[in-house]
Amino acid sequence: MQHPFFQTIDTLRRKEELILFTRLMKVTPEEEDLVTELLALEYEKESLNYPFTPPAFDGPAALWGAQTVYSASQLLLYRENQAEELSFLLPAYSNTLTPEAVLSIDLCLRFLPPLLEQASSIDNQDALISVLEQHLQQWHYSAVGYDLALENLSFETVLSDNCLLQLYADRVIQRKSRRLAEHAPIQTQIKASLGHYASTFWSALS
Amino acid sequence: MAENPSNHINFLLEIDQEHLSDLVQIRSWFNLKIAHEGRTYWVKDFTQQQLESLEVKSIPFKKLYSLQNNLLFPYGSKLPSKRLPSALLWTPLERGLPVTLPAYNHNYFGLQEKIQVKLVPADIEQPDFGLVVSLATLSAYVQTAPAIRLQNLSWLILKPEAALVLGTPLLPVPGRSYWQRGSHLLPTGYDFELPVLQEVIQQKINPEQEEWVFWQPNGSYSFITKAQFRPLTISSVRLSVQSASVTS
Repeated sequence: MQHPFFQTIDTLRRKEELILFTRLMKVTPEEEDLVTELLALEYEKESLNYPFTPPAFDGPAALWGAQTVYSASQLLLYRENQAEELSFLLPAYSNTLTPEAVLSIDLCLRFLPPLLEQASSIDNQDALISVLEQHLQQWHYSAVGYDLALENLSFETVLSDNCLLQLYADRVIQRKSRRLAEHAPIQTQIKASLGHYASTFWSALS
Repeated sequence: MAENPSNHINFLLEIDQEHLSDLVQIRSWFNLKIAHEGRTYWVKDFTQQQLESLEVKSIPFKKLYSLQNNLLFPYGSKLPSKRLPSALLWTPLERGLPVTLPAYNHNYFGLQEKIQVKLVPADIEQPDFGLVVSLATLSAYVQTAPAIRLQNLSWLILKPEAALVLGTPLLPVPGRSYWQRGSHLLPTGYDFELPVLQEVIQQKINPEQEEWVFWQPNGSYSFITKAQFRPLTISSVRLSVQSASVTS
């Protein structure tokens, strides 16, 4: 197996299945380039379906998202590390929050909430969960529908971009996350999206 | 306004049985009552206005009377000519002159007759199902639309300039709308002149129901294959508009 990380991300994107091909956490720079290229193509395909003008692709951000999901799944299956090492193995993304980064990271990070549910069904006291939840706090577009504390979420980036705001609202409606739909910063956008047909599309939200 | 005192005078009409059918034009006046004695029929309770109306004046072989103290005065005369027979049984005119339907003609087949299928303005409001909209309007709206508004819709391009969107709820954009009756797409506000023939028309022109029959108000129609419709998504609109602008 030449490029296990690339293979994993490729199947994840194409079949929405997470398959690990090796136990190796190390990723070569060559493979990083390959994955960034793959994600750039995926983003181009997906952004065709984004409303308004889609933000540009952010390579490093997308790569970070892919790496986080990859490392998290590795840690879930083959844990040889101590709890203290987790935050070192799963570093936070250091660059600023931009709409470009939010959407690029989401390419892979959207698969993290199901992974987390898996982790908590194995052991809900696991240190891995709290580390990953912290990442999701920051990139909460990928975690719509996952139970996060609302007061810690910042909506500045989401509100700053038309495209991202509409995508956020669409995802809230699609996953029927009632807590978010009634959350003040995006409530108006949800209402505007449902319009006259709120009772048709989402009868529980009155 | 003061009431005309002549309204209190009771006017009567006398007619023989063989001319009874001439009363047909006043049959719908509900204040009248009818009674008969032998072959003589009496109609009472006319008002002055009714008496002078064209309908009454055009009844042949009638005699008009005014009734006072059970004496019958020919209309316009001051001398009575006879008495009203007693013990008459008065019934409303409508009941006294029942309608008889013509007997059914069992020898009539009418095989040579043809019905022209026409669309006529309809009275009943129907929910919209289809929308013909210009491609520019559609793409401007769809590119900013919430995903939930697009998920139930499908579309195709009719001409280089127009698109047909099907589904509910439809998009809030201006366009010509259509409603669904079976596999027919009828312009909103129109219906078949004979809606009961819908199934027959469908069997005749579209037995497999693989097509939408797309009607115009003038009664002409065209077929649109159902399989040609594609889900309405932002990317499908973007790519179609792009390729349309490249080819033109």
